[in-house]
Amino acid sequence: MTDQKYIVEIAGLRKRYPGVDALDGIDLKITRGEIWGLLGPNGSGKSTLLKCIAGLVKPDSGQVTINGSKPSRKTKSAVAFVPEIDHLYNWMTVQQTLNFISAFYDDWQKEREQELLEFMKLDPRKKVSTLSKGMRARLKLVVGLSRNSELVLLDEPLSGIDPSSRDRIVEGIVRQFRSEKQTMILSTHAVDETERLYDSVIFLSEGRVHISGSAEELRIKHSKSMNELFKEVYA
Amino acid sequence: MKRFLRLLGKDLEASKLPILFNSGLSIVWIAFLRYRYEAGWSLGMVFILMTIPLTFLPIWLMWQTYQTLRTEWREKTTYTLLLLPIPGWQITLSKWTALLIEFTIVLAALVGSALLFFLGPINEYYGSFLQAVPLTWFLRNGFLLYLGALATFSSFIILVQLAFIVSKLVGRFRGLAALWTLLLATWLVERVGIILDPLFRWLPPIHIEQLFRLDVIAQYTNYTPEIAYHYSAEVGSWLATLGLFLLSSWLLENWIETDD
Amino acid sequence: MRNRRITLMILVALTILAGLDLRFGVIGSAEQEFGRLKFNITYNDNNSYPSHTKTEVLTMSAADLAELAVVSKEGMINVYGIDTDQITITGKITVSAVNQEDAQNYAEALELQLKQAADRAELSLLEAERPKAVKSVKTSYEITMPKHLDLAIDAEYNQISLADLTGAVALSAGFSSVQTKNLSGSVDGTFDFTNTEFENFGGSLSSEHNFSNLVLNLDGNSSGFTFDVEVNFGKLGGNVKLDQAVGENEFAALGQVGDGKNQIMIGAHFSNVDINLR
Repeated sequence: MTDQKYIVEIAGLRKRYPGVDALDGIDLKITRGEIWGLLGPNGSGKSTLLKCIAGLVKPDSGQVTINGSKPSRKTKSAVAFVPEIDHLYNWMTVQQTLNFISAFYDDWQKEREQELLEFMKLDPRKKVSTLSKGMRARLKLVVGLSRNSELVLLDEPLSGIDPSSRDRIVEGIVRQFRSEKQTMILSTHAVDETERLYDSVIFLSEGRVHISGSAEELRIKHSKSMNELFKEVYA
Repeated sequence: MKRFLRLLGKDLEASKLPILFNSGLSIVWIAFLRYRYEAGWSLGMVFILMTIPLTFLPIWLMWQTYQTLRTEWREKTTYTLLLLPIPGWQITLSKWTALLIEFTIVLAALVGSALLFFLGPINEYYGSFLQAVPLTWFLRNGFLLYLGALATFSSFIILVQLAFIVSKLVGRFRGLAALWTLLLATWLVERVGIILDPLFRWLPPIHIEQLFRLDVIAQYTNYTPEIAYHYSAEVGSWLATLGLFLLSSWLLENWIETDD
Repeated sequence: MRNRRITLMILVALTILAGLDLRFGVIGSAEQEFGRLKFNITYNDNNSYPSHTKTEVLTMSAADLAELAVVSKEGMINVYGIDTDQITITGKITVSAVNQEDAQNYAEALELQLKQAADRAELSLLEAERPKAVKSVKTSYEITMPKHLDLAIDAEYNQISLADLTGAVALSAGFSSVQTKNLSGSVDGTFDFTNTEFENFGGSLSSEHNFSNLVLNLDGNSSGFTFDVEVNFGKLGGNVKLDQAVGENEFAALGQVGDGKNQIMIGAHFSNVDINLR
């Protein structure tokens, strides 16, 4: 049975790569309309979990459903995934990139695209290959947030980014998130900068869920900030 | 359709450099041959040398098929492609179409430059024949030969696409896996053709002499050739190739992972 | 991991099947092949230009001859072996031109030549550079000769017919049709875009066929045949039981009938071969 309360339901999810269990029996339910922090050190399985939800990685066993459907062409229309790596065409300009990708999504918001471009201070005429890492991260975020997608998956959006870009990216996320329509899962190990965003958090460790729940309840229960809790869990 | 055209536009744009390079190289080669012809090489020899790029075209096309997919993986743009809410066949078909367009452009550069550079010598040696045979005959047969080449190369592209995609499904020795898959797929296509051959024997043969209007030439020799082409085995192979195309597309959409 | 395992299993299974197929020919048979082409080239005398025909009769004693050679670029060659010691040639030269006058003038200027060198005589048409007004020149030869005399023919665009010869025949034919009857000597031939039919053949044959069809009807009363036949991209048929090896688009067939005295060696490419024993 699909529960309307949850946009993503994960049961017994396992994914093994040669020599390592990337995901080792994940059970999760992601409530709608919230920003979820997917926290954990490098190699804890955050990216693999997000890719499983996005349909880019196929689980060995277990199940992922988005609005009750397994990841498929249909769910791709509802999910915006911003991967950690640079996945955009280097030879395209910023505007060509947006024009190309927007053609495939009915929920693309042209006005929001322009607004985000301005906010992220991106020159539409510049080639992707000439952008700095920080600017490319901003562009990826414009691609991910210009849609009215129900589910937004951000994989390490701050990884390797200079401080000025980090602030702008976090600010961009806050400005564009529409809690009445969207759910966001944001994976990161830069907890201090993103702590204020989370409604709920998931602590992953070696492919398993270590802790999950409401960020506020966890703060109260452990009398610690998320950042302090993160340091304690992964010490 | 709009989405497919976007994909096609992207694939063509990405292949701009190889197209320009190969077209340019073909033109330079023809110009060089014209120069050598002026220096004393025989027309027959020059014509034979002119066909060298034609023999390389299929090899280049297969390499280019592999490269277009490999580049998507190397540049990690597979993430962009596989996140798009489109069926896998649109991705493989757009690459297939782009490659055939590339082939057409390079071929046009080659044939066009050959005609341009060698119009004088051709007129000198074959002028009377060219005047006797209508231009439409040459255009029609040239187009038919071009279609034949497209049909053949289409199959190459599909088999190479499958080989690449399957290689991404195995953990190690991917180059070897791709080569092996290509050989197996070639064998499979041929064998399926043989198995299905009896099913299509009822198809009437294609009369090559009618298709190519050889009677136009025959009237100058007083001999009418009849060449009946029975293609029942080929039909089975084409079906098998189509099946492999659908398989590649399905694998791309449903089995391929970005983490390789 | 699951997908990887399935992929590898399919690849291994297909490899085993392909190996078995290539080694033992599990799939496919001699009757099924790709690109089956059947060729037929017919004479089509629809020349609409005015023409003029000149007839010449040439004779020569065959007493000192071992071979007659015939060269023809277009037309017809009929050769009959009879009990005689003389070669008789009735040659017709037909010239088509843009007008009757040009045709007649050019035809009258042409000559057939029967030239002897040592023990060999060669028949050909003497022709200088052809004027533009002339559209075609065809020769038609009716030849009677001693049946034991060797014969060599080099022809294009010809209809060739040979009958009742016991000597060696060397044939090179392109874009032609060849029909023979009752040949019992050896035949050595190269045939391109040429349909060839041997009727009641009782000698040895060594031939190459490209884009051609061969029908070989063997004389069952001779002292037998040994076969060595290879066909690439074509079909091998007929009623002679041969040990066939089927390869990639090719058939290799060996065998013997009777005492196997006469050697039948055929190489065919993009050609169909039918061998029948009466």
